[in-house]
Parts: sequence; structure tokens; C-alpha cells
Amino acid sequence: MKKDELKAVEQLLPLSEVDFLILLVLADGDCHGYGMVKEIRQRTDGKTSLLPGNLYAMLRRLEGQGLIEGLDRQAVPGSGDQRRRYFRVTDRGLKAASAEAIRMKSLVQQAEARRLIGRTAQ
Amino acid sequence: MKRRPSPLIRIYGRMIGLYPADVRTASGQDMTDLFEDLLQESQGKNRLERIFFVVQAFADLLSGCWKARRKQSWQGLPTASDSPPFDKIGSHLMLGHDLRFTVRQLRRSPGFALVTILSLAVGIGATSAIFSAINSIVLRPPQGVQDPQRLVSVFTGTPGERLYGLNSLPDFEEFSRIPALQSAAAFTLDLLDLSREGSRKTLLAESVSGSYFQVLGMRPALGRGFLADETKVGDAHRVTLISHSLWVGEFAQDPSVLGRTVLINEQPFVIVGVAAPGFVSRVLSLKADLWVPLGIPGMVSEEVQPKDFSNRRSRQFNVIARLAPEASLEQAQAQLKVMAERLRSTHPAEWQDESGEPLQLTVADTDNGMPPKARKAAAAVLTTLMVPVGLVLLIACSNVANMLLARATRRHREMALRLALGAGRARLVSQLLMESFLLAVAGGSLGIGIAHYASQQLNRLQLYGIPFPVDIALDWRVLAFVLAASLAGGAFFGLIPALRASRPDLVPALKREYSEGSVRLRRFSLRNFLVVVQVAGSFAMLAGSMLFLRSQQAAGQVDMGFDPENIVTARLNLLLDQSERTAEAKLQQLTALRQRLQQRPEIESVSLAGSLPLSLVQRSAEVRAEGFQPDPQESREVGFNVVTPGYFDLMRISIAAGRTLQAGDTLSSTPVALVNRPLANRFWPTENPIGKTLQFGDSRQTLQVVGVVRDHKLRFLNEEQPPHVWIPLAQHPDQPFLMVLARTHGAEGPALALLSQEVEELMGRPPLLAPAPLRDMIDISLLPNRLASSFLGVTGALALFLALVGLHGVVAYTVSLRTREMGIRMAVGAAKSSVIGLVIRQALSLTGVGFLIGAPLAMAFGALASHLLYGISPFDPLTFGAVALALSTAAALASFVPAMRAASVDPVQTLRFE
Repeated sequence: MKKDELKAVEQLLPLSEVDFLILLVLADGDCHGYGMVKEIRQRTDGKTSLLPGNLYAMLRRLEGQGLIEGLDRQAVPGSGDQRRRYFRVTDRGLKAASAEAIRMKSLVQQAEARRLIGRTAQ
Repeated sequence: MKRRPSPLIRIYGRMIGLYPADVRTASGQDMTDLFEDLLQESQGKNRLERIFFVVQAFADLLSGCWKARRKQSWQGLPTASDSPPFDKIGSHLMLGHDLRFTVRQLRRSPGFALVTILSLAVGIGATSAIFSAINSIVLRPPQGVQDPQRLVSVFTGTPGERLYGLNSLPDFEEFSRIPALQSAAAFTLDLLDLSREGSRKTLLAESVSGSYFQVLGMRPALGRGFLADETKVGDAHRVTLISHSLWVGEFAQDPSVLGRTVLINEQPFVIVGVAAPGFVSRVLSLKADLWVPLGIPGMVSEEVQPKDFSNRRSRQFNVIARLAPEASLEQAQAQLKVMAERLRSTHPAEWQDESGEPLQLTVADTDNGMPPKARKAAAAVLTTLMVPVGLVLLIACSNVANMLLARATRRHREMALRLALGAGRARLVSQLLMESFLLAVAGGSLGIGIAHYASQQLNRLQLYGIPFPVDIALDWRVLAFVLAASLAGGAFFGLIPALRASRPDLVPALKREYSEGSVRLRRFSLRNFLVVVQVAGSFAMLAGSMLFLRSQQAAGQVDMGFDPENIVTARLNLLLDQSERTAEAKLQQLTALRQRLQQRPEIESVSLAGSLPLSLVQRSAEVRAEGFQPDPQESREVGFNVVTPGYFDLMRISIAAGRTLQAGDTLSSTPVALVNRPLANRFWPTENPIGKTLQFGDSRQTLQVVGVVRDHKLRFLNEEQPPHVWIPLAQHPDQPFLMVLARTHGAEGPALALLSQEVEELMGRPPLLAPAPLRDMIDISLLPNRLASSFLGVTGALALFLALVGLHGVVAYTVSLRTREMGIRMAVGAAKSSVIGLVIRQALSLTGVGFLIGAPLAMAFGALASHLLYGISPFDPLTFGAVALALSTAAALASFVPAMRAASVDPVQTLRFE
């Protein structure tokens, strides 16, 4: 990674939880809005349920930051004639997600060193 | 073909237009798509969750729009890659700031917020519940029906009141062939018994002719509609379609329900389909649960009997039709006019009414399944219901306005300070309005909960074992109504206080003089006016509910002319008798039943009758008397009952003249009849009726009058006695239905089970509908009265509660403004009691003015509803006195606490403060 690019990505950190989740979902493959809502709901055990206004505000922002890109509208497999716009994560987006994961990992390691993890779960 | 999106999606799409153009282009369509996907997903959830989702989605849309617009107004700041997250932009901008400020303010006075929100929730909840009933019956387009605007109803009748009459089946066969109608179907409404696995339910059902479902374009959710060869009138198969809600409720959505056999009126029927969700009857949008083919042999209702299928005079059938693709309503009417002329010339006898007036055919638009007259009537009833709940809402709003006024006055110093520091007046007004809108929205949301609960209760309501016939549901129309009611309420109770509060006299306010001295304690202030409105409204409603309660009480004491206590009844359906026995054989079986019951120790006497007095079903026939010519407008129809000889003894009805019916009145002896005094007076005003003859029914059978029955109530408690005839069962054995009446020696409970058991043993099947005490059946005639009094009682209590809260608030507020005056009064020697008296007098004088307005309102209301009142005048002085007394006491109590506070003012403190 070039140094200035790394710096630009690090400027975005920390990512909000939902931003991070969106990047994670898209890292698994291109996805449309409804697919993201369902996937995020599933990954957070129903705790995060996104609505259109909020979701697309975030997608527009992520797109503006160059982390994701919107594709043309295309047919949704298995849904008849429904056409939806798909989104794809960019290289920059993957880098941001990975930088965020590393950041969180270091935080988690510190917590583990203090034996904080497991305490509440017991 | 692309489906037309639902109204919600269209509204959502329109509202996307509020977003800035660039956002709209970038993701407007995507957002609408996502909303549609989520909305579809929510179909699987329950109704409350769905409503919740829709509210959330719209709130999300609006807040997103707000953020996007705000972001635009901040353009020029760095954006794109390094733009800050949305929620950190411009947090000091007006609206968001106002919102947070308001929430903080309200949290500082939780009592005020709670009372306000509760008042509004009660008002909005009650109004929305009634509105959802109106919506379900009058406004909501029929569900599960294709192109409802192309559906029409056809009626046979005479011009004027009786234009929208029902049709006969032979006529229907002919007029349904006119080219302007693509297809047509006839149907009737019935109550049928559904039994399975030992449980029995009485359900509203429709008997429909062959093409009924095709005419409506109803696609069953499961299975199919009826096939052509299943619906031949007179030879129809025993197949049935069940409603979607019955399928969900009774069959747990089991798809294997198709092909299963259920017992309907004790006969086996095969379920062939499940109707589309929300599909209801075309008559008044009643909630039908079963559909069976019309004309199954032996399977007919009380009203419609086999001979009615071929009888042109028997006009018992609703007709619904679909206009041909190019045809208009006017064309259909023109063609029906020609058809009616032809029918009149080919069947002159059948095509005139009793008074000789020619009949005609009328076609009417049945967008909502109701002829225009019925729709108007239903709308009138529901609007009448809307008046009291609207009044509750008005009282709630006045209440809130009053509290806001008081609050605004208390905050005048803050306002003055802010104005002096340069805040714009518009700014202050918008902030104060924000407060009232926030309260309105909170009250409205809670109100939706109340409305949801109330409508669920209404849906669960059973009237004498029969489910409440209207499916009341909250849908987007109700939500829109609540939103409009909340916002209008917010503007109504927020604007005046806001305008007022934002215009204080700066100098005295800043010098802290306003609240102590310069405030004008006008006698006719806006605040007082609002309290008067509340008192007047609650007075009118309480008086109304009292009138109905007293009328119910009076009805309980009325002499019915017979003794309904300790009598149990059961209904026998004799049409189900498949055996080809003669009338005599059937009669023997009934006699055997009577004798067996008679031998039981629990039972004193047993009798059979065609119908029960004061019940909903009454039979009538044309009766003629020699030498008597009725007026042309007067109907020859007279009520009649078929009874066994012991009937009058059992009911404790005495015979005024002549003899009663005897065991010797049989098919081989002279046909006889008993009459009542009104009939005798009508036919033979000056002569002795005993020995006179009557011609009875279509066959004009001659009956000899042998006795006169003492007057007793027949149809309604508050009726003028109508003419009536009683004929012996032994001479008229061919009855479709009969009631068994048994007078018991003691409690009715054991006799009910006994009746069921004996009937089943002897007749081979249980009685139709569960046996019940006669008292319960009679109570049905009091139902409108009872519903009205409980409805008004509840709304009246709500109104009273709200009015008292308002009164208390105003008195407390006035007292707080007059603290100084009270202090001075007491400093110069006024006793505590005189200060308390002063405050309470003020409250009572407001209440008094409220009475002056409320009493005429209540009287007008009572006069309108006088036909529902029994044995009591709409101007009953006792009712009005009692309500006035109760309200005054309540008002005095409500003002007592602030009065005590006024009296406990320390004069020294007050004067020192000066």
C-alpha cells in the first residue's frame, strides 16, 4: 500500500459499526439494498435493522468516500422482473475494512490482556 | 404487465420528491424499491408490527430528507472523501435544536407532559377507533375483488322508499341476460351452524348462485370456487368455501383442509376452497365466513324456502353484476327499464306491489357493496357515533390548549427576555408550536395503540354467540386520519397559546410585574371559554348516557303481558328432515317430543311455536277480512304465529274473549284462529269478532276467529300493538322451523342441557343454535339501547375525566395568578373559608355556564334518539338534575385543592414581596 493512500484510509477510522458491516457484506459479493438489510439484520441477530432513508444516506456517503461503487440496475435472480441497483466494494473499501479490523483487533488484544473478555460472559 | 403499486408505495414515492434533486436522482428509485421490498416482507408480520414498520419507515424518510437538505445548505464546506458524518453536521441548526430543547423542557415538567399526552391519546384513540369502523364499512374498497368500480347491484322495487328492494330468482334469470351486464349472480345472507370435532359455531354465511365468484373476480387463496354443475339451483352439491380468517382461526392455516368434510347445519359439506384474505360479503361489507351454493335441497334459511326459487313473487335475493367492458351504468339502466316493461306485461300480477303500483328495476353502483340508501344509513349511524368521540377529542384538545396557555403565561418572562435579546417572534412561535406538535404526535402514537386495542376488542365482540359482523382494521387510511387529527389538534391547541406567549409586554414582564399585578383576570377569557366548552360537552354526553341507562331500567320494569322467567327455548330445523314423511307423521314426532319433555320432573309445561315474541325473527302474511277494504297505501301484511294449544298457558297470557286453542283443533276440524284486540278493532270496529272469518295467506284459507288474546308485547317494547293472528300448529303442520318452549320448575341451567339432549335423541340431531333462556332472546330487542348506553357511558366518562382535569388546571392556574390578591384579602381580615369559597364559586360559575350550553345539546340529542328510548322522556328532569349535581360536586372537588392552596397563602410573605 502506498504510504499516502494508507494515510487517507486511516483518516476514515474508526468506521462506524454499520459502515463496517456494509463493507463486510459487500466483501462477500455484490449486493442490493434489500439484500444488505437482510444480511446485516442476520449478522447482528436482528439488532440492526436499516430503513431506506438511512441506508441510502450511508451508501451515498461511502460511495463519496470511494469505499464502494454503485453498479447499473440489474435483475434480481429468482424474483421475476424485479430490477435493483447493486453495490460493489472498492479496493479502497477493502483496505479501510481491513485497517478497521486491525484497529479493533489490537483493542481486543488489549482487553484480553486485561482478562476483560469472558468475564461478562461467565 | 406491471402491477400498480399499493397506495403506501405511491405515497412513499411522492415523498421522495422532498429530497434535493441530486439525492433524488442518485437513490430515489432505489429507496422506493427497498421500501417496497421491506413492505412486502412485513406482510408476514402481525398488523401492529406492520403499522409500526410503516410509521418508522416514513419517519426515516423524513429525517433522511431533513439531513440531506441540511447538508445541501452547508455546501461550500469540504465534502466528498473527507466529509464529516451526517449527524455531526450543523447540530445547531434550527429544527433539530428546537426539538431537543422542547424534549428537555417537557422532561422538566413530566406531570404536564403526561397529562397532556394521555388526554390526547384518549381523544385520538377513541376517534380513530370509530373512524376505523367507518373506514371498514364505508370507505375501504372491497378486498379480494377485481375492478370493484365495474360492479353494480340490481334491485326490484317501487319509486320512493322501496326502490332498492330484493329480486326474485325467476326475474333474475331473465334480466341478468341484458347485454350491458357481462355477468350476474344472486345470493342471500344466512346464519349457518358449523360443527366440527364437537364444537359448534353460528356463522354468517352467503348462499350464492353459480357465477358469484367469477362476477366478483375473487381468486381463492386456496382451492377453487364453485363449478357450474355444483350450483344448479334445486340440485346443488354440498360444497363450501371458507373465509381466510376462519381458515386461520379454526384450521390453523392447514393446506390439507381442502377436501375435508365439515357439518353445516348438521349436513356434511366438502371444503373446496379458502376465500381471498379480507374477502367479505357484498352486503354492508359484513364479515361472512362461509359460502355455499344457493338451492341445496333441504338447505335453506328461515326466510328462503325451496318454493321461493321458482316463485316470482318471492323477492328474497340480492343481485350483483359486472358491467360489460364497454357498457355504462346508464346503458344498463336503460336496458333494465325495457326489461321491466316486458316483465310487467308478461307477469302483470307478479309485477305490482300490494297496492297495485307497478314495479321497476334499478341498477346502482355498489363500489362498497351497499345500495346508496344503505350506505347513507350506515354513514349516518357511524357519523352519529363520531359526534360523541369527536366531542371527546375536542375536549381533549381544549384541555391541552388550556394547559399550554397556562404554561405559556408562566414562561412569559423567558419569552420577553429572549425577544429583548433579539430573537425573532417567528422563531419563538415555531419553538412553541414544536412543543405542541411533539405532544400531539406522542399523544397520537399512543392513541393508535388505544385504537388498535379498541378495534381488537370490537372484533372479538360476540352478539349472542354470533361474531361481530364487521372486520374492523387499522389501515393506512386510519393512520392518515390519526396523523391529520394529531397535526390539526397540534395546530388548534398550539397556535393561539404560541402567538400569545410570543407577544408579552416586554417592560412589565421583565420587571416581574406581569404575573402578580398587570394580568387581566377577564371573566370571558379564552381559558374560561375552553373550560365552558369542556363542561358543556361532558354534560351533554353524561346526560345522554344516563337517559339510555334509565330507559334500560324502565324497560326492565315494563309489563310485557307475558312472563318470560323460567322459560327455556330451542330451535328445531325441520327442513333438514330428509325422510319423505307426511306432515302428520312429523306432527306425531313433535307431539312425542313434547310428551317426553313434559314427563321430566324439571319441566312444568312444554309448547311449540313458530317464533318468539320480542325476538328478531317475526313472520307475517297477508290477511283479508270479509267486508273490509284497506286504504291503498295500507299493507295487508299481518304478523302471525303458529302455536300449540298450551302456548298461552305456558306464557301466562290470558284470553280476553272467546276460547283458547284446543287439542280438538286438527286438520279434520274447522280451521280456526285467535286474534288480538288491534286486529279485531281494525277489521270489525263495532262488532264482536268471535265467529267472524279471515282469509289467510297466499292461499286465502278461511279461518274462523274463536278467541281474542289479551294484549302483550310482540315485536318491540315501545311499540303500538300491531294486529296479530295465532293459528294452531295441528292445522298448519308444514313449518320449516319451530321453537320448543319449556317452562321449568326451578333453575333454567339443567333444563337447557336436557332440552338439547332430548331433541337430539328423538329427532336424531341436536337443535339448531344452542338452547337459551327466553329472557336472553328478548334482550336482543334491547340491544341498540344497551349498545348506545354503554358507548355513551364510556365516552361520557372519558369526557368527564378530561373536563375535570381541565377545570382543575384552570382553577389552579388562576389561583396562582391571584396569590397576591388572596394575600391582601387575608391581610385585611378575610377568613380562610371565604377565600376557599371565592375560588370554588369561580369554578362553579364556569360549570354553570357549561350546563346552560350542555343541557340544550343533551336535549337535542335525546330528541334525536327518542325512538331508542323506552319509557322515559328525552327531557327527563331527574336525569338532568342528577348529572348537574354530579358534575357540580366533581367541579367543587376539582377546585378544592387549589382553593386550599389559596387559603394557605401567608399574608405577611405576600405583602413583603410587594
